[in-house]
Amino acid sequence: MTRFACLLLALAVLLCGCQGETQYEHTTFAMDTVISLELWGRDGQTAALEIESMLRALESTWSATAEDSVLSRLNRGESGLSEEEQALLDRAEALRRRTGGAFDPYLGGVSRVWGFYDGENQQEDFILPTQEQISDALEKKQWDLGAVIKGCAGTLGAAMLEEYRVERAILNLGGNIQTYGEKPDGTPWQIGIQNPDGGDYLGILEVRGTMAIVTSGDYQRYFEKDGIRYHHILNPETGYPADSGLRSVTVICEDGMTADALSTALFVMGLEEGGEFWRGSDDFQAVFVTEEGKIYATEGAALTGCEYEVIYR
Amino acid sequence: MKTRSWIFLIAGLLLLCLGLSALTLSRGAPARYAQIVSDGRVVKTVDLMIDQEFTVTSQGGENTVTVSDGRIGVTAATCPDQYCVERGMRSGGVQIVCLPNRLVIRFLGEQSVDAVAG
Repeated sequence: MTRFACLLLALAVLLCGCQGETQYEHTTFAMDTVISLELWGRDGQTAALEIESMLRALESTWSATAEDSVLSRLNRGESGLSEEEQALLDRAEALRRRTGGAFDPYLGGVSRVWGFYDGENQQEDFILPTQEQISDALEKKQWDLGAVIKGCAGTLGAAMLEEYRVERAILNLGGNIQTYGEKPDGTPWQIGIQNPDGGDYLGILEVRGTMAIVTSGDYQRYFEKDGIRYHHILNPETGYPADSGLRSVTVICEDGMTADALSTALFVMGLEEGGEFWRGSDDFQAVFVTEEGKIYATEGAALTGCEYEVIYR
Repeated sequence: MKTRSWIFLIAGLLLLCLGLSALTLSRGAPARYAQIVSDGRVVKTVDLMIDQEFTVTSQGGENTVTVSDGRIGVTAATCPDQYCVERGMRSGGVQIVCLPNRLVIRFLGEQSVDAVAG
């Protein structure tokens, strides 16, 4: 009978172990978007709050709209950057050079005249900026890190998790996804790609470990006038919304800031040039969705659940 | 211990395992729900199979949420940009967000993906 009791006890202990880790979910608003943090592990809550304050700090430093942000002061020609701040600007400039200018961190003025900052132009009474306004704004070269800051934040957040008892996490910064760790059953993370026409996701990307998945799409922020959609991804050469035949580009990369910048750059380049750019790189994978609704994925992108063509090296 | 006790014990363990796996598997069933998050807090979870309409008051203003034919959407809002209303009626995918009013509608029961990029 003693043996039976021992067995029961062992079973009870085992079952307690089956209860699983604690999951913590946190939803908040920061960086002009909605942030959902999902963390598994004992320190989930503490880590989530730390990440939130990191996001708020980044926001107050790099906000393009807040008058007293470091970015606004920089754009007014006032000096005084910390080493860390300068390093971030240097990385943005390096990404501009890498993409041949397709990603451009100096479009602040242009985004402003288009009204992509705090809804100065509303949907109903949207006024097209004049060519003169756009040319002036292009010339002024005002910093705007909107196209990289969320990706950058994702990687920073994942790095912070190393210091906590968090086994795995998904940081969703307004559709910019940062995964952290592995699922306990060994299966990859399943990341859907948003259908540009709304509704369900188009396909599912299988991603392993700690990775950034960032999508740039014409459906994310836009104005419509006389049946024409003016979206927020601007062509740095013209100052007009990029018209490259794409609806969205998703980039999978270990570094979030690179993923964020490249998704914008590839959108501006279009399918052909974007594919060529990928052939010349070895640090990312990409999925392109064209205006015709066709999907193209680079060779190393583990895309499932949809019909698509593979871009080979 | 007698052989019979062993048989009972093993049978019991097997049953338990079966029960546990059934429990785990049932979590993958396609239950379709949406969560309404206002000012960062879940205020309501709705069954998309039950048509309904209600108004959520958040820090920034009011949103009228409609559920019909398995889809959910914001049908009226006090926000200036109306992005949330333009998102239309949806059955899944990326969450519906009203940034000015601080309202989020997120989809539950889609066990096939961990997150949606977009």
